[in-house]
Amino acid sequence: MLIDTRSLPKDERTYLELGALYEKQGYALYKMKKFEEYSLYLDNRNFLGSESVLTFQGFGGKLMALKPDVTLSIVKNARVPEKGCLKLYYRESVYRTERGGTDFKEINQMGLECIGALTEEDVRGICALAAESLSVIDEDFIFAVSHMGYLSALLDECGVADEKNRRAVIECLRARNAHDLPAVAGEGADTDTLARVIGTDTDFSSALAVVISLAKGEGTRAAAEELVALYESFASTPYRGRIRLDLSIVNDVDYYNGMIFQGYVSRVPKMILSGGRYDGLLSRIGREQGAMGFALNLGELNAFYPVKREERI
Amino acid sequence: MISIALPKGRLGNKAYKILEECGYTAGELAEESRKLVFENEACGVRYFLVKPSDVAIYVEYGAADIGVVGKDVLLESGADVYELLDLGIGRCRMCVAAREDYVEDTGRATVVATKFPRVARKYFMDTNREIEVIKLYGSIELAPILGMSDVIVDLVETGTTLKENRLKVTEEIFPVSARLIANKAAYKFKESEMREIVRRMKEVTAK
Repeated sequence: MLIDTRSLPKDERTYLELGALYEKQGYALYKMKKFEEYSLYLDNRNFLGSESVLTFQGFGGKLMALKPDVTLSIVKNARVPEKGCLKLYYRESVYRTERGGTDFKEINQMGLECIGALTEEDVRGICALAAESLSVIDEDFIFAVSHMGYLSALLDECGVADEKNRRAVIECLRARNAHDLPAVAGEGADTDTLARVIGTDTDFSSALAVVISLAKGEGTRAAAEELVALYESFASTPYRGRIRLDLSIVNDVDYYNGMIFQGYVSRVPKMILSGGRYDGLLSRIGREQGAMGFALNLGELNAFYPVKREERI
Repeated sequence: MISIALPKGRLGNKAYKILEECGYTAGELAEESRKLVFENEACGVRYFLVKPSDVAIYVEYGAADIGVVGKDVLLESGADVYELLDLGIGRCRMCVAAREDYVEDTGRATVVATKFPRVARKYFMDTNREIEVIKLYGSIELAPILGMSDVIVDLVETGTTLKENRLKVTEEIFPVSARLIANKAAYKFKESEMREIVRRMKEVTAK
């Protein structure tokens, strides 16, 4: 008997639709264990962005952890072909505390990873797939892009050298806080340029013009070119009006090196999709490969998209 | 429609005056009333009056699109929001203070009484000092006087309360003033309206 998917909760419906979409694009479903050795997360705390991990003692005294993240497990365990890319998608539970909280939550996450010899076309393809994933959830969405390579090079070009100052400036970028920049950027730093980045609106073409005009060095110029190519690739898609260039999106510099992005839908007051290029994670474990992916928090959706009574079975 | 969370009390009144000058009026708000929600459809704004320490939470969870909050409350909440503007009102300093005759005993953890445990922990951790935090909700100055704590971490405006209780500022942590904050998701969908509010508020506060 066929199932009327309209009667399913929003997260289940989205999972089915996204699964079909990812398989059509050549991604294979990847299942994994619920736990890993704790040391995997301890060594990559900054990648997780959280220190809260649920641990337990395994046989033989090994400290184990319930997965707070899926990407680390895939990078560690999946076999990447010598040529081309490994393309996987997953739907897993991860266990984390909410920011500032002490209670662990089981989070229903879906996403995909592409690991191997990534081409620029692959990068743009993953961005397009992320935007399409958002459109599956809600037509009223925003796909906001940033570039870690650009931001990292811009901080160098603006003379923000000291590690403590860099961290503080990144916090200012993240909060769109231009007023505290002079106090935290360090002596001699070009805070006017940084304030321009913060102050620009996120309309892609106007933000791109600012990004290009501020690109003085090789690193910023190369990243700006990548952003131009991405914008052009979106021109022929139905999502061209939905893409933004938002340099307040900043991830950890040690892990993320290229395009990064976040996704929002108008009904949900928080970010529901995040991802980007994380070659840095692979080089930290001694692998010279490219990697990019994104994750969606499906668990957030049901509260904002209740199934209508007439649609229930 | 932009929803704005304002803190009840003096800071909220000052913030509303700025918004009123920017053209975002809600007549009843200026009057004495027990109402908590005020709307002006023509101006496209809806105001909520909430407890000052809750403003950042209302904004972070998207119940309000923007809000006005002290930098002290913002840092203590750790809310993941945009901080769009320093309004320059409600100025004071977050400080470490102790009895006038206090000498730090570096051989043990310093006992800190405060309403701001997150701020205190971060400050002392950054300076690599071990502390024990006692969370209090008011009359913080009493703690070192009664010997319950070595120091306090609290807001200092003029320093009169400290002086009258024979306490002194030993370290300044950061200057405090009111900030305009925004929900990150709401900003994505209402960017032009929010940028217009920021532009007008910048003009008014720069006068």
